[in-house]
Amino acid sequence: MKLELASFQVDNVVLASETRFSGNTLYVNEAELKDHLLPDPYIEDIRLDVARPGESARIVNAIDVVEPRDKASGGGTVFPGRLGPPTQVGSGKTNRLAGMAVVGTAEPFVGEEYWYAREAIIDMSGTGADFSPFSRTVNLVLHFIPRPGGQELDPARRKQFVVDTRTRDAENRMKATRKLSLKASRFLAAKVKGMTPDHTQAYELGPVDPTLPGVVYLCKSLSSSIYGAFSTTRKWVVPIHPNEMMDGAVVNFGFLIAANFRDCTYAYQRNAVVEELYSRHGVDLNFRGVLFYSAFPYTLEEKELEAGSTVRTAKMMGADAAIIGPLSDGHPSVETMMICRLCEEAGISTAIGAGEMTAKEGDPGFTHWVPQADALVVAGDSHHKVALPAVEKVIGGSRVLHGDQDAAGEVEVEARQMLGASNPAIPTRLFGRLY
Amino acid sequence: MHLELASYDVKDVVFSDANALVDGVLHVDRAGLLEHLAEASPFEALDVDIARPGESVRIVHALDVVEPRAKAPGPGRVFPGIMGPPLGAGEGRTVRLRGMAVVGVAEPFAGEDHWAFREGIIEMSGPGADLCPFSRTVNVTVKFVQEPGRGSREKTNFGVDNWDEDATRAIEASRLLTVRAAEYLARIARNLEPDEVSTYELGPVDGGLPKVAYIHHNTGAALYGWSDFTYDHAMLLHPNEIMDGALVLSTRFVEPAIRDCTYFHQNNSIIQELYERHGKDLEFVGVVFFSGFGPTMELKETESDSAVKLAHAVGAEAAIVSPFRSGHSGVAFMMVCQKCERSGIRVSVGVSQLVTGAGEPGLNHWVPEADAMVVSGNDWEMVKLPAVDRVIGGTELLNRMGPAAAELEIEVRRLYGLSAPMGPTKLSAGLY
Repeated sequence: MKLELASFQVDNVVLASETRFSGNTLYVNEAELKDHLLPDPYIEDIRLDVARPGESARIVNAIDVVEPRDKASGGGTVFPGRLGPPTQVGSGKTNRLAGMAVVGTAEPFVGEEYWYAREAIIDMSGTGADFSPFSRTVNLVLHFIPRPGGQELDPARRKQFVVDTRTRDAENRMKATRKLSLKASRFLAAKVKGMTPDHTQAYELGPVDPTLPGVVYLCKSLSSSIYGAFSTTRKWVVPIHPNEMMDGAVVNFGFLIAANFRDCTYAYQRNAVVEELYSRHGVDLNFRGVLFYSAFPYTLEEKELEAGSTVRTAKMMGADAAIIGPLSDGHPSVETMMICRLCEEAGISTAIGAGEMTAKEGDPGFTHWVPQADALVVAGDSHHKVALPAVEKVIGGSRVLHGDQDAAGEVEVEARQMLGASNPAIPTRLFGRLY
Repeated sequence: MHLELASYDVKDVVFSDANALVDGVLHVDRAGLLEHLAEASPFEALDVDIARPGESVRIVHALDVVEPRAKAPGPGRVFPGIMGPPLGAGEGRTVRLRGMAVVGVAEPFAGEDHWAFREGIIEMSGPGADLCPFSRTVNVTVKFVQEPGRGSREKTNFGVDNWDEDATRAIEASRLLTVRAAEYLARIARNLEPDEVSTYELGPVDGGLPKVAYIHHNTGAALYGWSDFTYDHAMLLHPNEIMDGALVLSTRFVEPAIRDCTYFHQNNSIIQELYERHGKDLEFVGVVFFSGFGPTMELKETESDSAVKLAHAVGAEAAIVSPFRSGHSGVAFMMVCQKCERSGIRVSVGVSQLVTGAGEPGLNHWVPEADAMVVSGNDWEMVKLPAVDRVIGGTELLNRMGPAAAELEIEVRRLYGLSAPMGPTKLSAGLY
């Protein structure tokens, strides 16, 4: 499987009368893009805006972030299973608009019981910019206005402790924003078809010196759909070629995970772990592939089932070592630690990419831990208090959900409200230090 | 993964006061066995019996067939996920009683909407015995008896395996008790000296040998006790896991002739053959496990893609794809063959035929790439079976096929294990 990724560097995005790419600037015609995306059964209108690094701008209510990509050759479509049939991707040539991102935003929908994970902030300058990798991309924001109406949430359901409680109507609107963000990304990247890229990089897991240690990436896919299938009942690991992941086979389509950990589509397209393993393939290691585990199971037996299947599959794929992550909280953290333990017992050395959760000084920072987890790379603390300055411009709403604050004013949040702050799969700026 | 399989040959089984294995004769404490099963049984009654090769005996309503196995003393159980945590299969030491089997039998359970596929006949002598692999094993039967009450019904609609929750629970219980009996019997031998010890490990081999994967099409097995698969992604399994009880017949019954009973998984002929030749003329790189039940074209595409992708991930240059089944999964099966061949993996296919009349193709779907087939028999041939002295399992055959002890003229597909391509069957096909 060989994938050529052709990068077109985007230094600026400008709303204009025509959609085209020229001089490293992407010009976007609002009407043309909206014509491509609408009408939609759940979305009435879309407002376009651009947020550039260094601007006094804040994006709130973000849902997904996508890098614009389009297949130039090799068959199929990017985001297979979502924008077309689930034809295998990862071969041929794919164009990407580097340096920019499409950010989908929407205010809470009717019928949505939002919790802390609904908020996701990107600050384009100031202290907040250190907390999001998307402060460094030129962001084309698609703010989605849902069609009116929709069923209210049953008050009885509000009382339950259920992740992401919302009615079917609210769910449909949420999914529509995700799908349209993917569709807009493909549409924009299609504009560079036939043009000469700034640079092209080939990705292929060719044969290497067999004495190099085999390394797999055990990727937790909490809210991803793979080739269009989002399953909360899967108890088996899903092996995938890293090229498929880069080429859009994996997208964010399930629950809303806390913004700092959120596995937005961009985190799969440009996964930092995959990039690093690829760059060292044949140099000091043998990259054997990616295994997705869902970490959904709620019972110990099902956790053992999925963890067992993950580790046995890793072993069969020739793993001597594994990168596991991201480690977050709750049920998934138990399974992640179980996988770590079983790996080490099976002779697979592990390193875990983690985000810390230190609510108070002296807290361990993890909900679960096993002694075998002795190599942790920490990408920041969820509960780190962040004071954001007032900004000139707010995109995506007028309120910050956390504490119901005026989004344009000075805002106090925690790092977990900052999109991508401590997801070890995307290049973050935070890290932990042992004292 | 390293598995040591210690085999104990069993020539006969007798009920006795105490458990022992002496000179190839397994003495079974009948009361002890029944008590051990009763601890986990929701049934009103259990009955155990013995059927030996050559006897004028017919077993009817057979559910699962299991070879007695147990883990050597220490932690871990056989049939993980059903009897213990879903971990540990394929490693350590496992003892097996070779030459015998445990056969679960039961009349249709309360709430079971049964069809002709539910009937499974094992003939211990006569012309039927030539066709059935379990006519050559000494069989300990375990019969599950419910209290009379709400009955079962002969199925009239076209829904595969329709039944209610009570029936599902009863079938699950029968499955558990069958493997529990198998473990109980094997534990009788586990401290004795085995007749043979074989080790199974996919060790490194000469790099020049062609790499072969076994793409196993799941048609009715539970993996680590679970059969609620999501039908979109294939899995990679180590053959040792399969040999060591990770796959057990699920609660879904396909035709007895091609039913993938637990015994066939434990003794999968294809895995045996590939292991035999590992390091000689091929390199066995593992098992890809896929279901193909997905009812939409998209699911079939995704799942067949994922199966082929996994075969490539383990470096396969050739693959055995088996067994073929009719229906939805037959289509996904052929997609796997096609995609393998088109991406450079040579395939050979194990099928059993479904020829309902002369001139019929025998397969419900086919692709030109499937050009190397191994056929293990035609399920629709007729066979005449003489009357027998004794019947185990019931008195009447299901779905109005007649009295169980009488002379029968039936399609061979009613005979248990007749043409399963992973079983040690006796049938083959000639091309004319």
